[in-house]
Amino acid sequence: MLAIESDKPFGTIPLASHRAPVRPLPLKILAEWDEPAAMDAAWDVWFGIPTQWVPVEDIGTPYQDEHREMLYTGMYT
Amino acid sequence: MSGSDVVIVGGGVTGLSAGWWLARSGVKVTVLDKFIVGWEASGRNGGGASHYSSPLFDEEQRLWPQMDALLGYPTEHQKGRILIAMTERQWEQYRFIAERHTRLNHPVELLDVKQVQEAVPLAGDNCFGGVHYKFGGHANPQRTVQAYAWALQDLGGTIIQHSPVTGFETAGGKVTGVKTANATYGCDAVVVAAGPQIPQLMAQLGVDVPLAAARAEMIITEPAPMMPLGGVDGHKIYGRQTLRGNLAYGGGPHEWLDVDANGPAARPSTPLARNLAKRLAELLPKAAHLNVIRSWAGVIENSPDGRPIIDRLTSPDNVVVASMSSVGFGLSPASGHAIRDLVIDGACSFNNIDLLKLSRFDGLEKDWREKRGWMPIS
Repeated sequence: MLAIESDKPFGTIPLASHRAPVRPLPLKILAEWDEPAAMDAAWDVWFGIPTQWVPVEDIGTPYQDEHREMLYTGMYT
Repeated sequence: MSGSDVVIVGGGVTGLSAGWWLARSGVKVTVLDKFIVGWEASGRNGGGASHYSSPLFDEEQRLWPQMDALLGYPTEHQKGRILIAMTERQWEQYRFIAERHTRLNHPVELLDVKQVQEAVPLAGDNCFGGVHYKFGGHANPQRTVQAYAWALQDLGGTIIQHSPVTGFETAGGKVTGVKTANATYGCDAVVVAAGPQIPQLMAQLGVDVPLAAARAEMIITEPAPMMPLGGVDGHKIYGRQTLRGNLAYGGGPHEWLDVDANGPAARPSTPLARNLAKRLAELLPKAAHLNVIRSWAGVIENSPDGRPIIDRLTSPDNVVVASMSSVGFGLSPASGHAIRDLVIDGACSFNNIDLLKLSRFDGLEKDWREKRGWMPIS
């Protein structure tokens, strides 16, 4: 159906899913409770790019440095 | 040759929103996607819509509450977020952020442990407190990309899937056609919104776009009882509870990688799922028994400063390049509007977005990825 809809040869339509399903495991079992300290030190909610989350009004102001110091000091960036 | 006013390369959330905005202005739009629209990072992400770091923020906040009505299809947008601190350091950091929001007139409220537990029944007494953002919110990424696609088609737009773009035809300093394996699509203007594939595509036009790709992992649990507010972040992870109850969460040090024009060479699960499970079980301990039923790692791109690149080029002068630098979903109502304005009017109508110009990277050192440690593990 996807090949017909896209007007493409059947073999050119890839499978819709990239990955095998995971075996369902509870969060508390899947969790790596003995996580290395280095992982925690390098962990950020996103990529740890200090300029990415500065409020737009504060870009280029002294607050930008305060923001970086408070949120990113000691991180891997 | 097939003719369109505007060809959009990339059917992610940014390309689809741009196409919808252009179609709303009566433009004949064709969206080309190498795979299925919205099927990668655009359709599987945290769904957050609270991006105060962007010049598109005000427009994002203005548009989200209207999107279901404007698109004619549900996005499952819900207002507000709660950020929960699980360590003393996080509590200090989150209060710092809350104070800044207050000064910027973004409504926030600090919550003590009891208030956190009332607002987030899956939370425990192991937290230090929380911050309730009474702005922003979240939406369902898969529903939203589908909504953009249907709304675009309702306005006469064309979406062509399974059609990787292979190159461009140029004449007189403009792109006149966009080539795929089977066809060339004539055009008056082009929007290149192909995510991690942007650098390779733009190189064909002689334009260097500095972007580095990375794999970002998320885990999804089986449904939990519905919480009063589904947008619950904190403990340095982000995520949401879907309207079906599932918890979808991501975060952490992501894996930098190289991609070619067709995407990444492989799409593995990553061990980060275990670290995410730990943090989610700590953030929401009353959900720790829930099974993780899926995990997913999307490939997304970042610019050197982590901010988007939304720019209409000077040469070729009918090309708009649009990368949201790993933060595209929530801003999509506004990014599409900005791209529409650049294509039709040459300037953004609702805010100054000079901050997002490509030229800010003129003179960027060639080893910028190495210097940032954004290299694949060899």
